[in-house]
Amino acid sequence: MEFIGNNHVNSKLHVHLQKDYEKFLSSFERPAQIYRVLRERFLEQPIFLNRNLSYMRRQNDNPRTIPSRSKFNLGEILEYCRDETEIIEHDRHSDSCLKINFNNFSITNQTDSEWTEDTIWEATLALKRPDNSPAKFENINLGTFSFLPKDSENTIPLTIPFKSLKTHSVPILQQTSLIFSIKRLPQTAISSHSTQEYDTEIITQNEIDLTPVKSVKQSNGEVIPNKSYSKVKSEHNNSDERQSNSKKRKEIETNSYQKPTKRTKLVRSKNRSRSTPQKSQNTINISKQKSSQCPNPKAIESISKQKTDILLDKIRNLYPKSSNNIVELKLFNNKSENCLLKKGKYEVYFSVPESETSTDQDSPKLIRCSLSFALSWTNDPPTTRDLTDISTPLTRAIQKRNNIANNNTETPHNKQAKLTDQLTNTPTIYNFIYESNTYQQTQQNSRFECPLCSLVCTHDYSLLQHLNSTHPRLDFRYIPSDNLTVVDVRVNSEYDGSFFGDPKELGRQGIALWRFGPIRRRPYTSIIHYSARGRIREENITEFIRSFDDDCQQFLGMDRVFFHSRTCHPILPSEINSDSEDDNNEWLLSQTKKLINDFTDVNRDEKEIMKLWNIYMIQKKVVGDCHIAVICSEFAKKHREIIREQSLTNNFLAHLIQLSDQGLITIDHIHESLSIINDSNI
Amino acid sequence: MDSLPTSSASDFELEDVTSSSFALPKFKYTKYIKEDHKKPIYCVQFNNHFGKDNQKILASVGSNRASIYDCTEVGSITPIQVYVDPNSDENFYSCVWTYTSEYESLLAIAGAKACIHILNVTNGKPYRSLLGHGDSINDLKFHTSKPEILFSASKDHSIRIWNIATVVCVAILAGMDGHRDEVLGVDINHDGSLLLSCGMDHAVKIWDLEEETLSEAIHARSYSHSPIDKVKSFNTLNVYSAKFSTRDIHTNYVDCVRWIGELVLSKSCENVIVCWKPDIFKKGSIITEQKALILYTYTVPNSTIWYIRFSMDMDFNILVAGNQIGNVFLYSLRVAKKPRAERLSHPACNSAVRQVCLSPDAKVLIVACDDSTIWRWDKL
Repeated sequence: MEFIGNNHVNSKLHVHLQKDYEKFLSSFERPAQIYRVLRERFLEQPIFLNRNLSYMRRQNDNPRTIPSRSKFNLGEILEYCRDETEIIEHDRHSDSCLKINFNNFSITNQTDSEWTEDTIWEATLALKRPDNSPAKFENINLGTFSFLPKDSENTIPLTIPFKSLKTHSVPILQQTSLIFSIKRLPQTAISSHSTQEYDTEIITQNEIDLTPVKSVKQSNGEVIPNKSYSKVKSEHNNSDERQSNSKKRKEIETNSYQKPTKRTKLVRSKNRSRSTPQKSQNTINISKQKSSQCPNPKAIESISKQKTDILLDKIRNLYPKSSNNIVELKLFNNKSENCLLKKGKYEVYFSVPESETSTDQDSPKLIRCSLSFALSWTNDPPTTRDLTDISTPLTRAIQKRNNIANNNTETPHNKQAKLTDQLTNTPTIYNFIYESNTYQQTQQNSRFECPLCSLVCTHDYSLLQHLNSTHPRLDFRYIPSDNLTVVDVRVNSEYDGSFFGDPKELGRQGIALWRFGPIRRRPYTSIIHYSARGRIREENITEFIRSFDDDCQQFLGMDRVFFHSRTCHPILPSEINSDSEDDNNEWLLSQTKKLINDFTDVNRDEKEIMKLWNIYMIQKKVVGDCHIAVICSEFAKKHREIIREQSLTNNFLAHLIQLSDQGLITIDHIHESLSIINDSNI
Repeated sequence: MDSLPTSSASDFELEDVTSSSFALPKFKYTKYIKEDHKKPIYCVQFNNHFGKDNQKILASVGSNRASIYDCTEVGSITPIQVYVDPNSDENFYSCVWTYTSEYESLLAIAGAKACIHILNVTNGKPYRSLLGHGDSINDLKFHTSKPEILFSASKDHSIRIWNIATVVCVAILAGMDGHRDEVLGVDINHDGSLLLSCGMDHAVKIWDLEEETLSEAIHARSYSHSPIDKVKSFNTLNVYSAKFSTRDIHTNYVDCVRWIGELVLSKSCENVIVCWKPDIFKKGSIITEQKALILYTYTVPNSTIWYIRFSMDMDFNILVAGNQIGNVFLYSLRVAKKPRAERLSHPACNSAVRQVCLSPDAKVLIVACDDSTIWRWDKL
């Protein structure tokens, strides 16, 4: 919240601004308070309005097209809820991809100075899946990632197509799991590599490792019962020190298998996967963090609890004791076809012996480190780039280490990562405007959440439509912006909170306004608008773009139709300023001519001069005797030609003499008028 | 579409009446129907744009409905279409046929609610609505050579000229020398130059449509006005004075007038139809006195209520008129001396006959009565 203006303004201006700001506050005070009360009430007693909320859904998921709606049975709800706990998103789509995005790698107990932050760690991800027979497994190396400790930058996500999770020969997905292994990269190995060399090596590694390799492991799946799980959990709670940022952390004691800890080169050897793992006790900590897109935090919490419980059951404990830098995460089990891993953030915990060279098995000094990653399902097909880009984490890590030294932190990859992060997690900015000045800017971090009633809308259009329709005391306008959703907020000056009747009676006089205090608005639901399928209004956010200045003042009666008085036809908007009421004395002129023609006691020339004179008098609207003198000379000027041609001069002279006899004009005026007629020069 | 029939009347002269002889046809009652609205049927009209030998399509208006009948078969009145106005207070007084440029039949109906509805009978849809009259509309007539030009006579003392193609009111014939009371009837002469009108002010007036600005407005300006272009409304002409006006013929409401060549047939509620000649056809001289020369009178007994209309066949041979006790009288317009009347009556037909109508070939006579019955008489 800040004032518009300079700090160095004089005190007068400052007082003025202060007053303006108070006005701003008072204008927004009432709507804000009202909507706050309504929000509290809604949280306590939700009201479900039976109004059209079609803007809340996307265009294509029409409820009528959902087949389950038609054959819905109330008894199926329980079953549905049960299924819901099992179903993991995007399970059945063969086109979908499992996307793993490594976020963070951190060492929790860093005791020795030998482990500097420059040390690069390497995580290898492999896919274990049954091969042809349920007893045999094959390992597919998916890629290697390198991290610096405390490295919280986003890496390029790894995309695994769903198809590759399946084995062709075994139709039912079972026993497939992801295997994480972690390793410290020797300093010497890194420093000797240039990035280009490394890339080529990785490519060859992919070529090697993507061919399935027969695994010698046996699977004898055993499930830890829930009771034992809870016991284990309590033990670990006592003895664990961990990062506190994960709220709903579950600790899972699970299986891991031994891998050779000494690998001097990059993971490219077939022998690695063939090597027999030693049994060891290991700890995997999977912490599931709250997803920002979940509408109800409480619900998500409970669901995630159940999920993790189930997950615990599925993970087998094969290798009770030994080295601990390998973690296996089960993707599928025998029971269902659905993937066990739900979308969200996970954290995997490792314990690595501090010294690789140490062969002393009795007192291993363990380094506890954690690798956090985000797992999601996407529909985007994996590009070939994904495979080749697997190399980039290490490159980036090396680059970053070099860049730290060079004080140059920005890399193209960083930029790209930031951009994608912005698009998914952009905040919405509300500008509170009073008299065309923005006095306050509020940022709502969850993008599609209504700031007034905490309703989560699914997209921008829904949010704007919801804001405008359910909070009519304020006026919301959408401001197009590149990355952000910017909304201008004003107090709706046209809102009439005192109206108490049907909305359709707003225009009626007398009952529309109630002057004795606020009255509850009568619900009006009898008209349900139906629009045929072909005529559904296209939802477009541009309808909220119009600026405040475009509003024209509208008042009652703007649509009233007025009529021309003679033709009784409606007055068109273009004619609203022309007057059709003015006296039309056209008939009077023709009537005058006609009546003069009917005279029988005057000759033709006299009739002509009478017609000219009378019509001229009608048109000039002469009302007083004093006008006559001026009118005589003007008449002479105007009708000079006719009088000359028809030789009416004598008749005109007789008429003028008649006027002078009446005392209206003098001899001078007669002379002047005649001279005008007789002047041949003019 | 055949050429319009009134062209044969242009050379109708008084001498022709004496020279030719025409025998009145005999008619025989064949059928009657009763519409169920229990209100008078004020107007029946045959669509004579089909020609003499084709279909005989009849339109009748009464209450808030307009009915279309097929009378082609001998002794049949078969309903084809009925249009009902949504307003139950509407009462149609008049109907008239015309056609579009695509030769679709149009029926214009108007009545108490001052709105002229034009229905497209061919495709059964409303075509246009003309609003603007200040009170109920008593009579409608289309121009003889321009099927788009419509004349309407209204209770608001005015006659309006409309162009239904562009939906404009071309002119308003009312004012100082116009009617001083309800206008009850209009008729246009064979070449569309003179408009005849009569009203409750006992006057019969003749309006000159050949006057320069009015003629230009009717024939040129009204057609060039685009109905879609709503930017500027049509500059409606005002005609304040009629070319000829007389109150000498009748001493009561004049409720029906017809041109017959240069002669005028007019009827009041005085038991007579008067044939007279307006003194407006002297060329080259200024008319100082407006005189009407009465030529014949056709006696219609028991005809003292107003708004009963007579009619003629297409060849101007037969004049038919009804009276208030259900009788129909036929007069031969071709007989010189003493006009002979023939009376048609039916024992069940005893309410006032609002209008009698002859089919284009003069073989079918339709009688519309106050008790919402329609009677059909066929030529023997």
